[in-house]
Amino acid sequence: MEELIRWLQGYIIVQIEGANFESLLRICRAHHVFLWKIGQTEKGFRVCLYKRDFLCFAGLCRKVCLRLHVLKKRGVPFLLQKIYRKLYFMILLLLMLSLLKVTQLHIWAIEIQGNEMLTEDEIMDFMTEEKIQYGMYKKEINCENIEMKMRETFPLITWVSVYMNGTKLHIDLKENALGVEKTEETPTDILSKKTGTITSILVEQGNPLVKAGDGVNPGDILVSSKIPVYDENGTAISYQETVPEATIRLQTIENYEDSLQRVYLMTQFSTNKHNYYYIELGKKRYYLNKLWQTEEKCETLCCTRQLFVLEHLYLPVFYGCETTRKVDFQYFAYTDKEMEKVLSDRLQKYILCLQEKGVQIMKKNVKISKNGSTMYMSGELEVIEDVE
Amino acid sequence: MRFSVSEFFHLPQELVLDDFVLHILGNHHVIVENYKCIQRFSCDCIIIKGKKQKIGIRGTNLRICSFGENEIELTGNISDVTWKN
Repeated sequence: MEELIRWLQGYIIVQIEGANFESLLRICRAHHVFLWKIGQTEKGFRVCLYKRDFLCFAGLCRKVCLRLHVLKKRGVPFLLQKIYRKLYFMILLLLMLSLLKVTQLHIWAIEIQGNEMLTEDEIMDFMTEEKIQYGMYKKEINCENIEMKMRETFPLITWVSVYMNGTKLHIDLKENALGVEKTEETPTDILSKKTGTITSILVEQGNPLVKAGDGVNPGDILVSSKIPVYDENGTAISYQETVPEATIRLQTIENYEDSLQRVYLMTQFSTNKHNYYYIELGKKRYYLNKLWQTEEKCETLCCTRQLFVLEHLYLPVFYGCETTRKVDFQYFAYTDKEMEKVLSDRLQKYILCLQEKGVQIMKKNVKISKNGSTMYMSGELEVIEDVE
Repeated sequence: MRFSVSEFFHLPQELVLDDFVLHILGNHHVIVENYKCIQRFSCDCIIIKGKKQKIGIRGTNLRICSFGENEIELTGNISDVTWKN
């Protein structure tokens, strides 16, 4: 029982070194300091005393010139001290766990996979219209409803799966490889859009009204959708409607115009780069090593990543690095030869683009002229192209 | 004289005579009451001073279990208890 009371009050075991231990006992008695378990050890004397008497006891030891060493501290008061130190840690841990639990109720990342022809921006715009965005409650998202609406909105999608994993919304979709399904077309004639000469015509469906070598103007019918049905006498009694299909090559003149200003603006980037690290919470960005915003013109490249825990638990915390380099704008002037070269290079690029589309260049007739500080290139290209 | 007064009036003798009160349990436990101070203390010898006399307790592994204002509790292998004037 006494031991329990002593433990509840808290006591200290100390070691006393030096002579005059008896004087210490006398003084302790006079100052009403209760001691127990007093024994002699190799180095001196070991004594137990209450925590409340320790300060007084230490003063008495100094009076009789004895050295005091604290060996152990026992009891409830010391135990509570240890718990208080750990209490802050426990509270912090509980706070973090509750914060993690709360963030788990929301969606903090959206991943789209399988899209090739549909861009992510298109899908995200659709999500915004459906009021699905970062930070919303998981309970408010109806995956089946989203899948149905996506199939209705995007005819390209043949299969879509929307599901949640952790705090991430996954959208997996499969697109129609052939492109948008052709709906039933109403029969329309193939018309010429340009003036030219037919070089070749191969009709699969429809009634051809022109042949190779014929000259055509814009609006002329090249292949008609109406196929006449003849009777025994050769008289057309009715017409059969069909969707005309034909490969027609047309030789035509393509006008080309281009111009170039003598003075041009060139951006020069500095070789010195600065890296600024930041943390983003919601829409606010906090820089770790950037004190003020620079007013100089500069190019900024940001690389942002989202913080996640255990692979699927994405948090509304982003971190990244902003690489900045100074930009200088300077005006330069082309010489005449440089201007001609630039215009010629542009013409070559244009011709290459046409050739990639299947256009055959027969002849080119372009001229360069100068008017003040502007140089012009204009002319005609004789091409053979498909009629669409 | 004090002894007679205490006997006559049936008063506690330790209070009237102002002398030691010893409680000894075997050879390993001693409680000393009404002492003045400890004159010497070591693991083999304790000398406790009273108003008129001293007590010398010898043995091995002597320890003070509790040291209060009015009593001392001693434990150990006690071999000898002597009174000195």
